[in-house]
Amino acid sequence: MNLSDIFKQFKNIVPDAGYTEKSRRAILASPQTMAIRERGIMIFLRSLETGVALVLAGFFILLATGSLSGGKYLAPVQYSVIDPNGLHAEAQAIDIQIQLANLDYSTVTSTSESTTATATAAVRALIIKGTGTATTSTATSTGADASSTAPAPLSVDQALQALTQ
Amino acid sequence: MKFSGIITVAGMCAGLLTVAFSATAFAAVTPAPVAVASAATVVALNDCGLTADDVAQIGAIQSDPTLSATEEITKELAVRKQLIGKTISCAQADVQSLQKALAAAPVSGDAAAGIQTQLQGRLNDAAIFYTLELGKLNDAGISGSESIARDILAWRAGTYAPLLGQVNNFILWTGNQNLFSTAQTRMNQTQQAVSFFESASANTDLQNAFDAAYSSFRTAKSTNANAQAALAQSLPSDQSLLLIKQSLDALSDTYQKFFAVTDIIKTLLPQ
Repeated sequence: MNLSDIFKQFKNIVPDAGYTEKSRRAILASPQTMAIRERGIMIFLRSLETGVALVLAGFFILLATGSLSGGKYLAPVQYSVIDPNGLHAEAQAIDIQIQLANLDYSTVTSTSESTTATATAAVRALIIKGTGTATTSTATSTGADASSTAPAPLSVDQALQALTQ
Repeated sequence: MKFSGIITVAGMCAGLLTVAFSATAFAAVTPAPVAVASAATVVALNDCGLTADDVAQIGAIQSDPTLSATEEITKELAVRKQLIGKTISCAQADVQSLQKALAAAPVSGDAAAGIQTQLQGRLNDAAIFYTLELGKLNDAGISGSESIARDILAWRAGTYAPLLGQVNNFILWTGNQNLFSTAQTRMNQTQQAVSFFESASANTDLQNAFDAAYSSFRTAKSTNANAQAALAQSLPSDQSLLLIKQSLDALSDTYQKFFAVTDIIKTLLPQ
């Protein structure tokens, strides 16, 4: 057999079927390499896709809250304007403050009006008690009569008025 | 990889910014919980513990037949000094209570802070006055103690009483400002809602109701500003108090108008 016959027989050489299948699977499972340029474009697009997805999510949140101007529908959050409980609470807080203002005004008025009268009454009571006269004192600071066991406290002005004499 | 990370982060930043903006917008249109006005607006005066019986001691001493003239004068003077001293101490405690309440007032802005500082200065002057009068008591006789009592009484009527009114009014006014801020937020919301409905379909009743609320609120804000000016100028306390009460009445009226607006809006909403 000469060499040319041997080389012709090489054409009939085929791999084992099992080995062929195994090699095909290995090739298909291996990572497919792309050109560097194609790989860069894919990475860019995927990253951009993630960012855009987040932006769209934020956009829809804005849309849902009605924060975009020119919205053509009443956003859920704007329903708070017709919230009766919130309105009532705010109105009640104002009423409380009005009561405080009236209390303040009336306290100042009654104090200034009563100071002179009750201070004079306290002085009168002092004089009566000092002389030992068994006369019911006309008034103490709050108008209680002398028979009351607990004398009412004097205000600063009432005490000073009594001590001027 | 670095490049992809940068792009991803850039996209996330943009998304987070929009989320943050929308959250801010949501918070802005949601009124904050209303703080109920403090009940400590009117500063309670301290109870000095002095009664007519304490003062009656003087009369008892004067009419005590067992005392000599000298003994009577000595005893009476001692009682007078003790009582006046106790009264002045009580008055000083009142000033301290006022100073604390004034310091605790929720002041916002330079103008209000200026009023607060001015009032604090005047309260400090009051405290000094009492200290000086207390010092005079040491060397005073009976007539001197009576004179001190008269001087303090006159000073209180002419100087301290107006100051007390102005401090109480200022504390009351600062307590109102939170209510005005809340009402402003409510007005902005209401305006947005009314604009929406008006753009969809013009409604005269709704527009009129809103205009009424807006006008009432404008009056309330204007009167509130006038009250601040009255406090800054130290006008008589009855004048500033009247303005404060008028601003609150107008604010209360504004909320009645808000209720009217919301009643109309409810009828326009889809059932």
